[in-house]
Amino acid sequence: MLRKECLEILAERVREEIVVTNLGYAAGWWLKLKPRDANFYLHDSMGMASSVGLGIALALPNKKVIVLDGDGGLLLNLGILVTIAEKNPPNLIHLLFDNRCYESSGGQCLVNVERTDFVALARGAGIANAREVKTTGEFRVAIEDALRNPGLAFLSARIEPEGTPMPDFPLSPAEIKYQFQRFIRSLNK
Amino acid sequence: MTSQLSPSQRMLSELKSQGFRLFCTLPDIWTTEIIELLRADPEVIHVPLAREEEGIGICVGAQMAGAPSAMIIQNAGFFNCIGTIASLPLRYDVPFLLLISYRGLWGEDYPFHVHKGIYTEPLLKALGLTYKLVTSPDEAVAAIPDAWRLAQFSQRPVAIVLTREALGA
Repeated sequence: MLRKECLEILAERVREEIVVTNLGYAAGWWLKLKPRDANFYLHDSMGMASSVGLGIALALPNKKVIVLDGDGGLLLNLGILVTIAEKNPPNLIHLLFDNRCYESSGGQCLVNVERTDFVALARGAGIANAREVKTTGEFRVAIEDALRNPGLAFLSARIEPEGTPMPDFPLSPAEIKYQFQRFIRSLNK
Repeated sequence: MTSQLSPSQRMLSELKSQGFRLFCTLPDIWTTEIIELLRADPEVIHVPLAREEEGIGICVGAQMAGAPSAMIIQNAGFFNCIGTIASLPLRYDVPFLLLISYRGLWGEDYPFHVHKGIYTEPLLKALGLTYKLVTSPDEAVAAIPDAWRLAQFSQRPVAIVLTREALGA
């Protein structure tokens, strides 16, 4: 399973949900597949997608927020699992792409690559609805379930490295913020 | 009337009257009271943090989604946030308020805090963050609307650095 295949499935299904992306491939593919004002893309700040998504989810409890995180990013900010569990926002879907490497920075191996169990880490933090999917069929079912039902969800998608060049990412931080703020203003009309 | 309220109660009251809705906190002994007030306050969103850096992302997200946000941390916790402040709110131009307890300066009781006193203002200056050092509860309350206006005008985080006297600790 590839990240791009999962994102294609998500792009077909996403409607009004807010999507916050990690940097690199996640931002690049999501911009290509589903460019829209309701996205917030991280340009840098590796590891912060989950935190930004949590902040948005707490501020807008009636909007579903989907975070596209990476395994390397989550390891940079592992404590966020505890903070997310503490607040338990029913409108947050934390989607982790687990390829066991720092693919956007050159494919280097992740620390403790053979043994880390991200679902166990999420459950250990107190996120009960945490699961792993390994096929696009499983991904489709799991994401549909998370989108339809209220409740905090942590979904780890075990993917292969892409093996293709990173898609272009032409947006500047100013454009990203402007687009996202335009979406937020549209909610209040 | 106000004189009967504690410094923490006065600060929280001012923060709420300025419209702040979300507060990220990690305790210092000097900020114990204001964090307890936040924990018990149903009118605010209180986010206790595992590590301060994550609060930068949370404040940025909440602020962009329409909830004015503030973070209450010790200066050691501010040190944990440097890279993310540079790469997130200062790149995306997102304002929020940083309330930082100024450990390791005049009146410090413990020797292990002194390095924090030495590096706090140089690091704020290195990031180009506008900040105000306040040394009394009156100054702390007065700094809140001023700092928040500056943050919104500049679209950058603004810091209020609080001594023990300012926090009434």
